[in-house]
Amino acid sequence: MTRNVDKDKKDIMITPGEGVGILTAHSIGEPGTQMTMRTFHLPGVVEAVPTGLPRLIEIVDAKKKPKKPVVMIYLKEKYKDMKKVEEIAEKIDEVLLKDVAKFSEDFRKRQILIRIDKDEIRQLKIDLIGIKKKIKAELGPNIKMKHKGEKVLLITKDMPLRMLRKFTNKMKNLHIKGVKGINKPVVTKDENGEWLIVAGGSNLTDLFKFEDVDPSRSTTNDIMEIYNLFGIEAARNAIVNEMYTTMKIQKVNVDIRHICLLADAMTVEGEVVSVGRHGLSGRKPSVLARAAFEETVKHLVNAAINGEEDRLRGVTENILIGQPVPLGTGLVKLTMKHETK
Amino acid sequence: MAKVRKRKISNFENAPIVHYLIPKHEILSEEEEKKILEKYNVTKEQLPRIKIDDPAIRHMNPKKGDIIKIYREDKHAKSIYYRVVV
Repeated sequence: MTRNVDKDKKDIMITPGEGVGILTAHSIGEPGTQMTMRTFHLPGVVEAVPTGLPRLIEIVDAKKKPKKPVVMIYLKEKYKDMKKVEEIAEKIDEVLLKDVAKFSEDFRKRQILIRIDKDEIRQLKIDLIGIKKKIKAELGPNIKMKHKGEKVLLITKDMPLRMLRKFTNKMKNLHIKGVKGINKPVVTKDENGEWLIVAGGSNLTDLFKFEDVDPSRSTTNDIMEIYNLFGIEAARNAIVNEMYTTMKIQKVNVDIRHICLLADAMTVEGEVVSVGRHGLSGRKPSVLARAAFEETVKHLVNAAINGEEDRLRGVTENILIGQPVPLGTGLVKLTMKHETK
Repeated sequence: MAKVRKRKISNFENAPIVHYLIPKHEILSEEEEKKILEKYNVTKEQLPRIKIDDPAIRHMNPKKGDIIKIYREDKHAKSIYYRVVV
C-alpha cells in the first residue's frame, strides 16, 4: 500500500529539467483563446466589472488601476440583521456636493449660485450647516460667500471666466461625506451566509479607519493597491486568487499550479512586474533573448553600446545559435574526471 | 549635515499587519541561511527578492541580504518559499 502511494507520488512529481514555463504558458493560453469567443460581450448584461479575457489581460499587464475597482468590505461583527450593515454601507458611500446641490453660474456678475436640495440632504442625513462650512473652507481669498437657507451665493472679484468654470467644477466635486472614491455600495451575502458590502472604487486605507470594517478580511480587486498595503506575498496571493476566480467563472479549468507559477514569475523581483516587453521579457539578462522577443534593434544597439555579454544560458539564445537547449536532457552536462597515473 | 530622510510613519508601522492574504514571514538566522543555500545549491542573488520596506516585513526591521522564510498556504498545498531582502 505505502509502496503504491510512493510510486504514485513519484509519477506525479515533475521530472527535473522539464520546461514548466512553457507548459504554464500553453495551459493558460489555450483556454484563453476559447474564452475570447465566449465572453467579450454578454447579451443583456450590463458589463460592470471586466471578466474573462479582458480581466486576465489586466492582471497579467499589472495595470496601475483596474478598469472597475471593486472592494469587498467585511465587518468585524457578524451582524445577522441586514439593516445594520446597510447603515454602515450608507456611511461609507461617498457624497459629493454635486450630488446634493444644483449649480448655476452667472458669468456677467461673476457669481456662482449653489442650490442645495433639502430633501436629498434629509434622506442622506447630512447637516446643512456642515455643508456650508465645508464650502467656506474651500474658498480662496478673492471669493466671498453669502448664504440664506438652502441657497449659497459665491461672489468673486473679477475672476477670469476660465477660472470661474474651473472653480465651479472644483466645488462640484467637493467631498461632503463618506470615503473618498467609494461609490454604489451594495449589501450582499457571501457563500458562508455572512453579510458584506461590495462597493465600487478602491480605497482600503481610508476604509480601515472605520471601526466597523474588518481590516484583516476586506479586500479589493486592485492588485497594485494590495501590493502597496500588504506587500509582495499578498500581491502574489491576490494574483492567484483573481486569476483563479475569473477562470472559474468562465468554467475554464486551469490547474492552479500553472497560475501559481505565473504569479511567482510576476513577483520574483520583489515588486509586481507585468508580463511582456516592459516587464518580465524586457528584463531578461540575456541580450539575445530580449532581442528575439520584441524591439530587436533597440536591444542589440544598446547591447553594442554598453558592451553587454551573453553567457548563452537560456533557451532562446541557444535555439538562436543552433545549440541544444538547457532543458530536459539538454540540461545535463557530462564531465569526466581526468585521472593521471 | 546631511538630513536623514524620514519615512512617513503610519499607524501600522511597527505592528505586523494582519490580513488573510499575507502569509507568515520569518527572518532566518545565519546558520539556517547557510543550510538553505547549501540545500538548494544557490547563491543569495539567485533567490527571489523582497523589498526592504515591504509592508509584510517592515515591522521586523530586516537588513539587506537577510533571507525571509515564507510559509505559504495555497489552495492546493502548503509550501515554504524564500526571499532575499533587497
